[in-house]
Amino acid sequence: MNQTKKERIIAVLPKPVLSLLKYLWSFRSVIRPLKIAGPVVQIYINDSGIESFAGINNFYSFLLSDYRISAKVTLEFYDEQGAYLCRHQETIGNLASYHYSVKDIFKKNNVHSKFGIVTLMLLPKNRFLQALKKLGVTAPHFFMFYKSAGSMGHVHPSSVLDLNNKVSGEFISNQYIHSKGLEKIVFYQVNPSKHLVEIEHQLFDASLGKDRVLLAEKNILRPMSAICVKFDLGKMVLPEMLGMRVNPLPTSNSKPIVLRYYHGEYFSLSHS
Amino acid sequence: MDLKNYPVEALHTFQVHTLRQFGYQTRVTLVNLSSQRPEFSTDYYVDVRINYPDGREVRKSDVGFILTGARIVLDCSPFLDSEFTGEAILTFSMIPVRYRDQKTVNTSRAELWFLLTAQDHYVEFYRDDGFSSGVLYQSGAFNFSGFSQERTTLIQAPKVYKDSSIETYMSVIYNGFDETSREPAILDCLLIDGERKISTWQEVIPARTMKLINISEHMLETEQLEFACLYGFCRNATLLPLTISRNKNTQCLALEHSLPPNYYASTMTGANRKQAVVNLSKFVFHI
Repeated sequence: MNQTKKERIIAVLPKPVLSLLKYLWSFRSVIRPLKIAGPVVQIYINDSGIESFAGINNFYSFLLSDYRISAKVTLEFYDEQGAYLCRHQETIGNLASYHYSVKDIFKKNNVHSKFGIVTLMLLPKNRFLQALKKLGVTAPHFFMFYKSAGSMGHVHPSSVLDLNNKVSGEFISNQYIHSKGLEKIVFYQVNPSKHLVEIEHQLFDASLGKDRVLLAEKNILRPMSAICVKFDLGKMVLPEMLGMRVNPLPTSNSKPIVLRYYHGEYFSLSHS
Repeated sequence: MDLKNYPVEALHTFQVHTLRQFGYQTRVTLVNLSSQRPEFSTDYYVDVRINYPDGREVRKSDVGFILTGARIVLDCSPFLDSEFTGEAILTFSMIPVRYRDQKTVNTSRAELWFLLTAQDHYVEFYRDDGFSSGVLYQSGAFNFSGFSQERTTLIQAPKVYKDSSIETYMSVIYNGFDETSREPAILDCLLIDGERKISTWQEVIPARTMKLINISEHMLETEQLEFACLYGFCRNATLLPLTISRNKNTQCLALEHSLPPNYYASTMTGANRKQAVVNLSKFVFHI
């Protein structure tokens, strides 16, 4: 019979030792009541007239509002090549909520980058608070706001950062894009993993299926890097509806954000 | 088959609203990824129910058909009365082909949950010049006990922005699938910047309507970009909120849905969520 490593170890340990280990393991939830999935990931854009802001609220104190809970914000930034840039940390109070300007953080830290990965970790100041057990596994979701002179976009995080995340398969967006007035489609894609990945972004004729590719671009993404893929459509005769395909996704749920540019450089933005 | 006499119109729904007051029409992309589980794989007939703010309800059958693995795009304008100028809710029901011609079916919660969660659908608001802004989400048969006993809403929206050209709204849909969800929904709103309370107020949403709440009118007038977080709490209904920011000069829109509590904390369902609701009522919204 196949046994796991754990089962083989348990089989050979003397009973008193096993009992002691079980007893000590039971204190784990007392010492570490908080379980957190990991930092949450999204992309920042600091280029082409677009500014980015991260909106964060102290969700621990909202969901456990019978306690007063402060929390520590840690935002970390990477450039498009995946190189670490800087960190912003501060403590936020009970129910508090702040927004953080990427441009201001970069200025304060004297770093420059057009786009890349931003991660958020939000931890309660008192990590021994037993009530945290009631939350199960937590994930510090936040919202990015992108703003240019006349356009805006809101988006929630794409994924949890886990460097052991495996490359996912082909992804076809559930949204189709109506081509009327469309001048450009821009993808911002992250690779929140430690793997080097070759990825292809495609636009296809939605009425004819994913194999009727109109435009495609391949790129290699280094670990923790990001790319910007631009498809200029202004001179093309386009079908009514366009589909979007990414193959492969660097990790499950690391779908790109997509900007639809219309006449006059106005855009709308969404997760794909 | 743990669900008996379950209404087919409530099996797999996508609920959207119009946004005519900003000069936009509504369009949806409905998706069928039911083939991920062969035992539930199905093509869908699509019906739509339109709820008008004056209480009228109109149903249209066979407005679309979605093959397994396919997507269809439907413009919502033809479904609306040509003289209607306000805001309406449209509820698209995707009905498995084997359930056609039945009003209720015996099925399983496993099938119900799978058909709903296998995919997001897409709603977009578009203008005559082609500009379009949209968002992907899922929407179950809220405020229907056959779907869920939960009838509360918890909103955390750290995404309210305002400057001289930007306003932020929250649209809420208050939908239902039986006669038990007809009392108005009461939404308590708390607006926070940092640790500072900016405003508290209450919104009343009649059943089977949408309401567009101008959040930024509760903030001071400003030239530079100001931020706030909206905490929302509804004790008696499950509302479907969307955050909508709008540039008054260019009319461009930004849309995003909020995340339910169980995205932040995996156990925020059932008894844990009920306790969170009690605590919020007592300690945050002072009800």
